[in-house]
Amino acid sequence: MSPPPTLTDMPSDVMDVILEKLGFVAILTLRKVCRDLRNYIDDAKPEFDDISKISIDVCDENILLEIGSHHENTKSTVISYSKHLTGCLVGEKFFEKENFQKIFFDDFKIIFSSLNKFLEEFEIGRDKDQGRGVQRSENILNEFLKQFQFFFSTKKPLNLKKLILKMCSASQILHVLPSISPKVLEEIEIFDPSIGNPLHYGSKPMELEEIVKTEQWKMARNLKIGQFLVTVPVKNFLHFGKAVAFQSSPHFESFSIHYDDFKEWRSLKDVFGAPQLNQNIQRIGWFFKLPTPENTQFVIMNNYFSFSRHFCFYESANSMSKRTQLPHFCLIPPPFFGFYQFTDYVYLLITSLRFSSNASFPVVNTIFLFFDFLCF
Amino acid sequence: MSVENAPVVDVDEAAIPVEKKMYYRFESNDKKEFRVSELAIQQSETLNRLVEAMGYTSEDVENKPAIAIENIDGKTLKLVFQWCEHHKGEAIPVDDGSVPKIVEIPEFDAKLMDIDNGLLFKLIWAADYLNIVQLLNVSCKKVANMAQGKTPAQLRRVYLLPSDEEDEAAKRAAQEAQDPRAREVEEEFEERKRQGGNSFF
Repeated sequence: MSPPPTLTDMPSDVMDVILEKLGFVAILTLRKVCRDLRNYIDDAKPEFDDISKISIDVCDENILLEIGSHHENTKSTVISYSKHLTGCLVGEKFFEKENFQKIFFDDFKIIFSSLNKFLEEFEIGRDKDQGRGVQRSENILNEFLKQFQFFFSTKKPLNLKKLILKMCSASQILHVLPSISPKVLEEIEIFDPSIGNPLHYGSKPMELEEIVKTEQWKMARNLKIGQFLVTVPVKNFLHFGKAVAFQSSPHFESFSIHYDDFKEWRSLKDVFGAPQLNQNIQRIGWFFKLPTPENTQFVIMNNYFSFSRHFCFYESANSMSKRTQLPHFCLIPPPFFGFYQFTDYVYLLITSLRFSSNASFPVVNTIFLFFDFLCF
Repeated sequence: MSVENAPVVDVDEAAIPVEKKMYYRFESNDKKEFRVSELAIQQSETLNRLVEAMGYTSEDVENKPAIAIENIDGKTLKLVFQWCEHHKGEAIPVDDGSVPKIVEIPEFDAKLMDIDNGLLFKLIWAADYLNIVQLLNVSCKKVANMAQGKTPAQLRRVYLLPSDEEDEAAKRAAQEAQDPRAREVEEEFEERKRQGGNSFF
């Protein structure tokens, strides 16, 4: 008696009906089951209309691909492509003499050729690595970004709502941005993945001049720049505590400084006086009411971030109401500014900065390198 | 001939005109016979066309031999006809590609398809062959559901598939059975490749 039929014995029209109901996660998994299915799926090019989110994390020896789904049965899946002595590993599967980057990019092409709806979120960048492989990761990321740009140069731009870039150089960002459709894009987030890696404190400030010229940048309604370095001697920071110029800015609702093991703590005390306890948030710090109609407050308080030797400065502004009055640029809550302290310098670290259009920051102007474009 | 396999057709004699009482006899490849109502047959485009083309009268049905369905076995055909009888008279979904089809498996179908995977694939194959659109939909949906949240290794077990290595080994074994020298040649080729030779010759 012949063995019972299996999936690969099904005629192609049946396979198509099954693929249509599988969802991309199961399809990609199925593709890795055996050769026949892989060939079939690559030829059939099923459409993935259930992908909501894609995240790509590049490391020196592996690439992680995470895919989120609208499909009723799938939440998200993570596929790891990693280097091996004599080949590479994809998930649990070993491919002899294959390069993990190549296999990853093959999968990438399959997914991106088959996307037919817009993505809620697309995240791409270098993983926050602990070791010394930073340069190699950077090289792999650069290589991938070039391929990425090349791949989309012949295709329709990618429709997505939120773009998260975990990379620190403007040239890397410029590889990605042109492939994104500015029409759908709502939010851009940029994080420097080197932050928090003590071996890599020498990160360079990001140059945003070219980036701000792109259509994508101009069309995005929300922007968040996070963990982003600007080198500033600590004295440059301290004097704007005295100046309190931001108090006169109508855009700020509250402002706070978080610190941890900050050596110049004494000078902060000189500037702001003795710290107080805020009952509402149960933190010790400095709190100031700002003389604005919204009765906003200015807060400096204990750091609750976990990094050591870290000093951070927090600021938020509620400008939803003002957005309508301001034609181009204003703050959307809550921006985050921070400091990173090393022996000679304090690195100003913007852990999160959001704005949309047309606001002026009289104070920030003096310390942020990129401030010029914030004021246009 | 096991006529007891035939699903019972509930027909209210008084309410339904004589033509609607029409039924047909089918025979599976393992000689099991089924009596199926005309309305149930309409779910299968293939069979519906077949009986229309044959133009049997009720007497023909009794006197002539049962219509043979040669590539489906009795066990599978029983499931197919049970499904058709249950869903007889229902509209057949039309695929015009305009709406994404969300298929829900009704309770009856779920129970009917509570079978081993081998039989399930036979059922799918039969649904495709007999062109029973909705049965194909629900059975493919069931197969798709089986794949959710599984790793490639688990899927391989679920769908009874060989891995690439097994596949290769099987191919090699088949090749060897055909030509015992094939393996030797291949090994020699591999050996030369290892030694740095670019080509076999």
